[in-house]
Amino acid sequence: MDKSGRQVELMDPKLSRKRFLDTLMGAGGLGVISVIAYPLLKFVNPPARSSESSEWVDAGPAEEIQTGGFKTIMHASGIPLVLVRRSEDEFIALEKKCPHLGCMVELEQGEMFCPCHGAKFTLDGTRITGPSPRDLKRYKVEVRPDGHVFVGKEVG
Amino acid sequence: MMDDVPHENKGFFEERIGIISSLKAEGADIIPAHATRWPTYFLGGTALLTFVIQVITGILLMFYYKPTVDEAYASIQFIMTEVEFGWFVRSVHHWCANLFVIIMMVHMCRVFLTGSYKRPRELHWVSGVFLLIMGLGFGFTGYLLPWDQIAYWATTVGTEMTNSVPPPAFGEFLLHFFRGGENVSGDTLTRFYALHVMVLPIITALLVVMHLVMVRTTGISNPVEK
Repeated sequence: MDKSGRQVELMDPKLSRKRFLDTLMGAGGLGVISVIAYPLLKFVNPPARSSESSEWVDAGPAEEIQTGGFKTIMHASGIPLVLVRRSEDEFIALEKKCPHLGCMVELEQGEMFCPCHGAKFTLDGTRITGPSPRDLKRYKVEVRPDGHVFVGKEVG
Repeated sequence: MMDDVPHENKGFFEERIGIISSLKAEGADIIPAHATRWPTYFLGGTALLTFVIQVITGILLMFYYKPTVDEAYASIQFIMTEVEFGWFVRSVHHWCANLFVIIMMVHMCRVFLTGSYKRPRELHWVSGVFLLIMGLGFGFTGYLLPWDQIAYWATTVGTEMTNSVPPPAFGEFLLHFFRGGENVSGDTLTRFYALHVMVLPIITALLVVMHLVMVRTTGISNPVEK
């Protein structure tokens, strides 16, 4: 707002109309682009497969696993789990996915061991050593009256 | 030239890449008055637009489509019923395929009636004819991909025709080339898929570039002048 005459130039009606129309065109163009981009982004986002909706997974008869033994099963979410029988009626289901960078941990010499970067966990999923920031995820387990072990949602 | 005018304000990218300047070759960007008044000169550009839409929607469909006997039909049902806006993307691909061919034919009529194919634009016409053949090739190969009854029998009939090409040994070669065997089978499906998503798009894109470069070189024809 100086008095050197520049203000008049800035207030030039043609210039302000041009700027107004430019802004209008820009806003309109953005609107058109979003209308096209929205369905395309929605399309790219994968829909949930129907198998992911069921909650409990049948892991087979309990007698298949001896006390101290284990079995690898697939959770409904598509993540592999290790089902360990710790005693006659105590089962633990641990996610095989290492919380560090997602490699598959293996049960080796009574410990869960990640071959990628050497993280180790106890059989109840507690972190012992290595780069993992967290314990292994645990899943709910129940033995149903028909003798089958069922694995459900994540604990906690 | 550029060194003579170092302070010319072209913008960061234009100064370094210079694509707009090269497109504005001498005289090539002059659109004759009749082309702006006579409403038939948008057809080539519209055909190009439908091709671009086909490329985009086609790539998106490839995210979910599976070109195998067991999964082709199911994957299209998945696109139509489960994927958000899947029905929309597939329908756009379907209708733009039809539009692509229709617009190219109308464009061809305009070029013929205004005599725009004459010297020095003969190769524009020739490349355009090949583009039309590419469009029909896209339609023929894409028609099989849903792997339903109408697709199967249309391809059986269509490929059977190649058997009539003389001499008989060549006709038989063509038949086996397209079918990947004696009959239309999963081998035909993978071949048509490869043609539809790799071979034809690459050839078409090259022809489109040639076609556009030639139009820039000679400029748009002016039938009024002659």
